[in-house]
Amino acid sequence: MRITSVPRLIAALSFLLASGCMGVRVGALPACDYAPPQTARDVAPAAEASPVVDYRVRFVGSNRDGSAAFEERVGGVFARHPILAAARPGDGGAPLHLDLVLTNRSNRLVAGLTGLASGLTFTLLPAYARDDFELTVELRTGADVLKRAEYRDAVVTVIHFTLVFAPRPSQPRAVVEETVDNMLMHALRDLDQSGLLTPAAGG
Amino acid sequence: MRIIVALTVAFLASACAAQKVRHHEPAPAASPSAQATPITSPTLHPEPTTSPTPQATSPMAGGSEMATGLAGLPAALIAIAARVALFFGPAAGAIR
Repeated sequence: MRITSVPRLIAALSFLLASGCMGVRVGALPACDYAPPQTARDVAPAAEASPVVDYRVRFVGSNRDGSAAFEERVGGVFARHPILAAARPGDGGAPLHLDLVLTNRSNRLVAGLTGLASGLTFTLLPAYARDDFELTVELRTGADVLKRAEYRDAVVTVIHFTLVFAPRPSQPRAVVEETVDNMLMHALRDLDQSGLLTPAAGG
Repeated sequence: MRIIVALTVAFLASACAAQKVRHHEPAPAASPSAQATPITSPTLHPEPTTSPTPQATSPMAGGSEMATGLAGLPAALIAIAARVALFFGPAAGAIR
């Protein structure tokens, strides 16, 4: 092997082994720029005190770790809300109970096959995965369902060597978290607009 | 020359594999002192913390995890093979 071929070889190996991935939000749900009110009185002007809310978070998907990740996102979004910031996980002991269920459906067969083919070709062939998310929010007081809403969005993940320079906000993890946060913000906005987060509604 | 090439392959493959399969590693546990800290404010949830080693995909996205995991598999295998070659190559030469 000639000396002059070593840089070329290293460049070729770098080219083959470097790869990148990118996530793209499908955008079935528009971006929500809702800013929650600053105080509980803004949500419920006539309220003497904030209602006590508890909530239960459930993740339905292929990965068990998704439950903890979803709970973390819910905690982060609820912290921005004056009433829900005080909410605690529970099973309906409080006057108001929120049930949040995030379902992830993905084309795992296509993702696995294209992922394997992409890996075997050092990402010269792109890999493709689509994750469909469905968030179901149910507000209950006792056994009565006050409000039920569903939000759907999806994230497409592409892996290809040309995406090695993709910016960090386009990383699949960031895009998935942004998508879930956006769905939760939609739910928060609808709950505030419904006026159900009041002591009267909570009984 | 072969050693330089082998080291380069091992380094690149290791870096690539580490980046791609990182999301399979469990998150680092909180320190005992952090766990023992009493919650003084009952009002706020903690903001989501960012891991010091950011993972490529979220555990909430099963398809994305599957694709990135399998795409990173060959690089991980190459890293292992390069390390085995580096270890056994000189050893075999020494035995001979």
